[in-house]
Amino acid sequence: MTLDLEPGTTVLLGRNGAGKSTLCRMLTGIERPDDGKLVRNGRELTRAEDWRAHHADTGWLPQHLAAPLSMRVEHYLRYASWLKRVTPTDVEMRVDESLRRTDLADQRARRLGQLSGGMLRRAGIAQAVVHEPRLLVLDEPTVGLDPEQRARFHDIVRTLAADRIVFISTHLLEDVEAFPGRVVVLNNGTVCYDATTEELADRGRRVRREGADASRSEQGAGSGYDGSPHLDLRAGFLDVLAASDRRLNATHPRQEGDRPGEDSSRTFGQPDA
Amino acid sequence: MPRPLFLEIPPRLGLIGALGVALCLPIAYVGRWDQWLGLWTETQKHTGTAFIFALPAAAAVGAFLGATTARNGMDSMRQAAGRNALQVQARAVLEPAAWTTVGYLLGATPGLVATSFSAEYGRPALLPVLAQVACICAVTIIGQVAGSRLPWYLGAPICALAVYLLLGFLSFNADSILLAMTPIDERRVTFQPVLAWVLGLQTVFWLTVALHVLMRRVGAKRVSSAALIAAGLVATPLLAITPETRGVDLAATELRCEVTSGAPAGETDSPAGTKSLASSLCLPRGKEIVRKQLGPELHLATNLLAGLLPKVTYVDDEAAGISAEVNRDIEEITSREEALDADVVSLSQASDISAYAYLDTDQVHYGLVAYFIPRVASTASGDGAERGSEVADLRPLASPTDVLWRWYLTEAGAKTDGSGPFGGPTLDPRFLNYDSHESDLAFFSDLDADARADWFHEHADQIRTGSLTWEAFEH
Repeated sequence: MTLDLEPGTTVLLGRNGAGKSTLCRMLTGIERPDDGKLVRNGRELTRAEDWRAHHADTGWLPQHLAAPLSMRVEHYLRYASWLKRVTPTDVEMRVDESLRRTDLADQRARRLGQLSGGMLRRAGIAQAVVHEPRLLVLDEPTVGLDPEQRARFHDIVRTLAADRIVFISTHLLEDVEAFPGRVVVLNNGTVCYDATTEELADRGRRVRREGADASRSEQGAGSGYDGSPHLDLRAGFLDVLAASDRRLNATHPRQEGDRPGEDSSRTFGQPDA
Repeated sequence: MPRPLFLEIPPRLGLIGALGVALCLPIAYVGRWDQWLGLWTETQKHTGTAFIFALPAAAAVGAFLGATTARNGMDSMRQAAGRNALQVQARAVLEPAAWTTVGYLLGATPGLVATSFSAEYGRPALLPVLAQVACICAVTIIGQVAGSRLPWYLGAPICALAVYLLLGFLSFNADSILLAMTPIDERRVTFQPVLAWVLGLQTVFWLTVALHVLMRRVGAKRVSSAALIAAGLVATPLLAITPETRGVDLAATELRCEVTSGAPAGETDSPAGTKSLASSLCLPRGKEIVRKQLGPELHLATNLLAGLLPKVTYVDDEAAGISAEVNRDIEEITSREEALDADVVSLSQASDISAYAYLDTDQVHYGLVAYFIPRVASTASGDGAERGSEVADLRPLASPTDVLWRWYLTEAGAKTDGSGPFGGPTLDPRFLNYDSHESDLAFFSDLDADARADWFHEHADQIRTGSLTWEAFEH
């Protein structure tokens, strides 16, 4: 695959096991590619200093945030600042700023273990942005959050995306709707779709209209297109996957155990195991 | 203004780990307080020996803290750090090492403080402490690295057990390697500390081991290999040393003589008589603390045995044979005292007090009485029935020296029923048959100091040659 990231939000969609988390870890530099290269600002990351500089300018919120629960929020952020080479004189200012951005200013003295799931996720965001990175990678950031917490989380990430690259891996269409911008669909380790949210919705709309027309012609009036943007996105995504599977099956005939070609509608929407 | 960075390890956990290490030390040395309290060399040696328990604890603490930080996401944060890997990993391993070092210092402090209040000579040596800190840091770091790959409930016990078994194996099977490679000194040789260069090399060895583990963790293979080779090079001369490769603390062996006087606290001076005889006690400066306890006991012995001992100089010659200077010092004092008509008594022969900071006074008097009044063996009892008794009496018949021993030890306040320290004689009537000689004992006990001194003077040769008979008690 080749993927260029630009400032703004990029949402990565894909089935479970498509390689979303692996791609996120490679973007952050936690996992190094066996093959291929990572280029940042026109410079290939090869030397240790390049990787360190990349780490220092990248924020990372893993899918499973294993946080030191006995630690206080402000200490957690101070430690993240140290790891990310924030100048000691700036640490307190950065900690305050990230707490403010994530609405955790009043929670700074609490231990991470005392926070709710949503707050803990926001603390994760706070540590990911405490050093003002230009690349922010969020892997399944809203899994496990209730609708209110999710909405709040979306607001925070939208604010952060104003002046940096925010790369969000998700399997929730609600996240795609929340971050209108670029959508990348990953299937079996390859980028099978790279367009805007609107284009994906248009594709779904077309598919659904065609389906509604076919249904009407078979059953008569009564089962027309309902105009739901959420269902449009879903239909667009499923259509992309189905097309990708068809291509993959044509290139590599399906064998038992292969992921390509399985029924996209059955796996989409299920949280990662 | 920048605020200090917080610790990676929650202080609560670090403190628990430190206390775990700290507790292992006093457990190992407090019970033997009589061997080290007031003697710096012995205090530091005992705290060092306690390492056999502290090192496994340090490995377990390192493993526990390593596993805890790995589990709570610290490792993944470190992986994504923008900082130099050496800085990140050094911080990760040094915090547990710092906690166990704090534990070691906490555990050793009671012993050092107690000795600082009671010591009459010397001062703590820095090198053994440095070697011990380096060793405990390295073991903690090894534990931390091993433990971060395992769950704590496996890593901590496995690391502790591995270190304990290794130390135990070396202690029982290869103590020269244990002494060479670790600051654990199990030998009791008061005036022969481990050589400074040995401790220095041990410090360097353990630091290079720690560096090797750290660099391996960082992924700096060249530096890691270089550290390993350096550790091997440092270990080479260490492996050549034997338990006898020791220095001599000459200043501590210097003998200082003082006239003994006074009585132990709570007792009256010269309880057995009115005339107080002087004796001298020559002690190495390193054992000066013994004087305040031993002096009154020797004074008491000299007065009780007045007549038998005209003038005595007691010399603690524990350091004899260590070096020519020490031997010359002892010979000079012996010649000087003999020129003053004093009997020079070697404490190593009269009453072994070597390497004890606090004495068992019963033991001292058992040694003294055995030295000054050679005991004539008790004779086997005849059949009680032969002597008209209805019940057979199997108690041995007391000898004249038994009467003198029993009197002396009773006057000195030492136990005579066999319940004293190892080697204590059984002189009570339930063990020895005094039936025919109660009047002899009463006669001797009733003598006043001058009369007893005259009696001793009169029978001194018989006592020394072991030819004392009951006739000596006839009155």
